[in-house]
Amino acid sequence: MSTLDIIIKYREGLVGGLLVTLQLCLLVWATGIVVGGALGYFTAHSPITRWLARFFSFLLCSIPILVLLFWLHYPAQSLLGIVVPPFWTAVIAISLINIFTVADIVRPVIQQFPTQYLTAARVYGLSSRSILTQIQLPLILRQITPPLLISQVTMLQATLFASLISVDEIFRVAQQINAEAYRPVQIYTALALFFIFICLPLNAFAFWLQQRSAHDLSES
Amino acid sequence: MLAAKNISKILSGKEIIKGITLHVNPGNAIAIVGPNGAGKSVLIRAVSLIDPPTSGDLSIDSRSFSFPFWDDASNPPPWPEMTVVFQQLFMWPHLTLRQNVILPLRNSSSHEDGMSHLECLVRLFQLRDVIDHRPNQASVGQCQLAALIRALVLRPKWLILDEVTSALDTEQTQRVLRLLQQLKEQGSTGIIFVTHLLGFAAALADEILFLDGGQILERGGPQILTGPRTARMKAFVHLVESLENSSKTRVLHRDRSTS
Repeated sequence: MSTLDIIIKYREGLVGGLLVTLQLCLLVWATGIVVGGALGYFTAHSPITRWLARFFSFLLCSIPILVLLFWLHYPAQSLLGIVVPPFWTAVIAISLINIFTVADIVRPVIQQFPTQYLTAARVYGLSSRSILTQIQLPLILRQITPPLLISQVTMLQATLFASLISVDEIFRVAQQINAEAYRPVQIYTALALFFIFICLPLNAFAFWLQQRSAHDLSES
Repeated sequence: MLAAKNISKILSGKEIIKGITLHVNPGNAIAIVGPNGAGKSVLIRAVSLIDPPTSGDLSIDSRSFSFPFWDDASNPPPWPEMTVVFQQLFMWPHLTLRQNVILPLRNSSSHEDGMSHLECLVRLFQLRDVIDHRPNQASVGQCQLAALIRALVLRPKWLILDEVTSALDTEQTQRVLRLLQQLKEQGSTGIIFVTHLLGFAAALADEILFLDGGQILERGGPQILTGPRTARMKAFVHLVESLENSSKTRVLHRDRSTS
């Protein structure tokens, strides 16, 4: 059986796994970008919250995703006496990491924003709304988009860990198919191709944006 | 009238400008000259309220500002009626030179006038080839002209210029000089400018302030450049002029007939 045969034969399972991965990933991306962006923004100018956010970020960075996932899946839930479906445990664990990752990307960009561009905008009579939408946001977005894209690709890959707390996402489905068909080379090649297909363009796009914005914003 | 009375500025414990008084009316121009580190930029940043003075009084038309008791929320600076061309330009790097000029015009009541003024100035300074490029794709001199245009199209009543010709060639400097002389003649704009070109200062200014160590050492009409009283200013003027002479071409002849 070739890789293609396997994909065709198990397409229903694969598509189901893909959908779970996609849901997981979109939830992680959305919470990370919205909450992380806000956290980065609001901790940029207050030293106390900045140190607090940085402390939690360091703490989270030192815990392997796998450990965090298992810890939230079993010990935390039994301590609190609650039962959370594994899908949502995975969403919470990976989102938590994503929130602090995004905040760490956004915060320094806002903190080090060249205020002279804003001074110039005020002197030339721009409204605060124009200053935000025409000067501040475009300059900030240009700087954060490339590292943000790269970090979100990493988050997509991190969703595979959810298979270990029995979330039926794409990697777990692939394992299940392998247990049945025993074609590890073909199955994991298909999986690798799938991730290359999604991640490579995203990373390449990030690289291109980074090159472009570095060129655009250079001083001379 | 724009008047500064006894203004001082302290930066990290050091008094950079010390009790300076000046005033300018629409149709007048004041030049601030002096060596590097004299406090010229600090003075005009203070006068334009970008980095407000530590102490002193400032009155701009009917509004007055007292330092250090200025509340910028209830008494905001009269921008862009008072407009500054910064020494470092601060062109917004993500916009083309044209967009840099147009963006402030958007909220302006005189949008049409500003747009036609822009076209006129682009023609005057021959910027047609670069006006749609970003600042980093244009030369420093071209950016400097665009920064000047960005301020001029707003038709400010008070125009404050920090070394606006520092990166320009002689030809463009002459054009800027003529333009500013015309603006002055029209009588509705008061100009305060910093320059290192003494000929430029003499040709445009009604009053010249020679600043050194944060203080005004000499002040008066353009004649103070030819007959300085203090030894410090004598030395400064002499050095500048000997440099200008040694290049065999007078950068700017003192044509006072137009003012």
